[in-house]
Amino acid sequence: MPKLPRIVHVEDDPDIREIALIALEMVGGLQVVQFASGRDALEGVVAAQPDLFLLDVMMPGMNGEETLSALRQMPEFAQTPAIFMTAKAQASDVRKFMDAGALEVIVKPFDPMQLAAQILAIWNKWHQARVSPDLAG
Amino acid sequence: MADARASLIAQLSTVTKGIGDRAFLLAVVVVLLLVIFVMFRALQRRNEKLRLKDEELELYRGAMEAHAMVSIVDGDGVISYVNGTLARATGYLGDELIGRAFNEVLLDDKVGSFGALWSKVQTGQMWADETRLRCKDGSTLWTKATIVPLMDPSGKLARAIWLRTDIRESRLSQADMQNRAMIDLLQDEVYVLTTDTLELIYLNKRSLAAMGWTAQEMDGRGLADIGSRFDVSMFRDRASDLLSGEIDSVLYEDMISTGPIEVSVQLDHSIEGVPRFVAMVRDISERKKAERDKKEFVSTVSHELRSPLTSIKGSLNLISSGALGAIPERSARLIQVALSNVDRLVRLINDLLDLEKLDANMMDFTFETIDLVAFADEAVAANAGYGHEYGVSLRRVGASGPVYAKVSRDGMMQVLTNLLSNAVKFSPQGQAVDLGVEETAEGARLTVTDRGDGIPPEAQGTLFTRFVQAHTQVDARRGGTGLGLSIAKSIMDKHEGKITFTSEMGAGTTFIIDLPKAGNMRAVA
Repeated sequence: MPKLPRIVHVEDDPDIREIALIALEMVGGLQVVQFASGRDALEGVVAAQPDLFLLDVMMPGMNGEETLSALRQMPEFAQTPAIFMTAKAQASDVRKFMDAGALEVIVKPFDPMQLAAQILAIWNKWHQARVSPDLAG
Repeated sequence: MADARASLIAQLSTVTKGIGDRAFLLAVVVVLLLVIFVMFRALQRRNEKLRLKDEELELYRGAMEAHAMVSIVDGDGVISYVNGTLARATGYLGDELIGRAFNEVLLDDKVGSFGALWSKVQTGQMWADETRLRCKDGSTLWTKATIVPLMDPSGKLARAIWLRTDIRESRLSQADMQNRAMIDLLQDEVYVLTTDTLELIYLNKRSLAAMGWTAQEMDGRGLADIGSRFDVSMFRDRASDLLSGEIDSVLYEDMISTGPIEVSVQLDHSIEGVPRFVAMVRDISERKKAERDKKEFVSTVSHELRSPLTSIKGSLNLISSGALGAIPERSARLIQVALSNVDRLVRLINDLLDLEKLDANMMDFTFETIDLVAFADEAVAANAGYGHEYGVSLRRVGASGPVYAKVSRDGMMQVLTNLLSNAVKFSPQGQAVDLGVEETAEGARLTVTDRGDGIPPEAQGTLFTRFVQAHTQVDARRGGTGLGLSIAKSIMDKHEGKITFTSEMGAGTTFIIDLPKAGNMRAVA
């Protein structure tokens, strides 16, 4: 089993940030560092030392895709897996986000009791693919 | 002596009388000769006049024959003579018309009926007006006609001479001018082109303005000279389908320097049967902007509605789970009420957004040929959990081998999920819902059958109407939005398929989806 990931969560809505924090930390037992914008995330991400990004897509200023693109410019986060959270659930949107580098897309509204489990499943699958690519499917 | 004198006198008298008689006779002869001469001269002059008149008449007849269409009919309207001009103009051989009633070739479109015209002529009145002749090939010929009746001594119509002149050109140019005036009023650019060399025949005012040309400057130019409006190879490619007769019109979008345009091309044969391309170019910048705005609106509404719902649902979920501490039982029940209503609101928003996207052609449909049997198995597996909640089992029935159809996987899964979940909701506990797949002559058929109460007859007519539910209270309680079947129908429309149903009260309902054969679908936008 891989270690539990340290997550950087970027979300502009404070209510959703709070719910996600409870869902990930209290329910899921994960370590989470939150930022209210892509710009804040770029400033604080090095100190946060994340294993995984959880990014809201529709944010004022830098959106999720732009934030991920900027994070990818930083050598230490060029390969860090990223999950998008979005209310845009059309198949074409999902494909677009995957093309932009997302490992998976979680659709809002999400179930906070399942969020941590959902993220861990994605994380484990990604980790498995890294250590033994043939088994990852 | 006296006797001799008397005798001489008598002789002289006799001689003198003889001389007088001869002179008189001579005078009479001379006078007679003179009279004969005068009469001869008069006759000569008359004959000369008659000859000249005959010549004039012949000249006149020749000119009339050459200029006009002439025909003679008897008192019953049967043709006895047709000149070459009429025969040529109508495409008949002269003999073909002889003996036929004229109204067989006359299209009496203006005088009301042939009978009315003919009864006027039968009274000896001349008749003149514009009429159309029906030609042998079925086409019509506009003529200016004059009918001159010839009556017999008893006052009965003996013959009638029909004189006609071809006024097609003048009528055509009149119609053409009217058409052009109307086409000039259009806000769209209109281009008329030859089909072989794509030479420009006509540009309306708008297209001339777009090119910065006068009408004279258009002469001798072709499609390649208006490259700023048309991609020539694209035009040729699209318009070639018109020439093969496979389709009636072509519609495509293109991007030019001034912005997005829509090009509509049709094949026109209206002028003397010669094919011409009529292309209309419409600036669709505004429409595209409206589409973008609508897309943006849907996206924004989607985000703005779902974000607060995420907070509400998330908070309620966390509280009801007990993760934040124990809650009184009564509060827990109320939180469940709130949660189920939030779920309903989420479904309603999702359905409304789906309908909005379907109406605006914004729903993603990627069509691919798939095996419906395997796909139906996936749908049964995906909805089995929902069935389990209601104590209803799902079964896939019908074809065992593959049945292929061209579908959008996402769209079809949405339809099947809707039908299966409806069927589950309205099935008695312990019963099964069947998802059938079969091949048909027209393509493929999917059926979803439940063994519920059936749909009341009064609700059947409006089942696919938005916000109409057959069992409103039951459906609302079980989470229906009243939009699912309307969405399913819209999705099937995009598949060029049909969704119908049969229902029997107390026995159950079967929804039927008919899909065209994989290769028979037209290009779907």
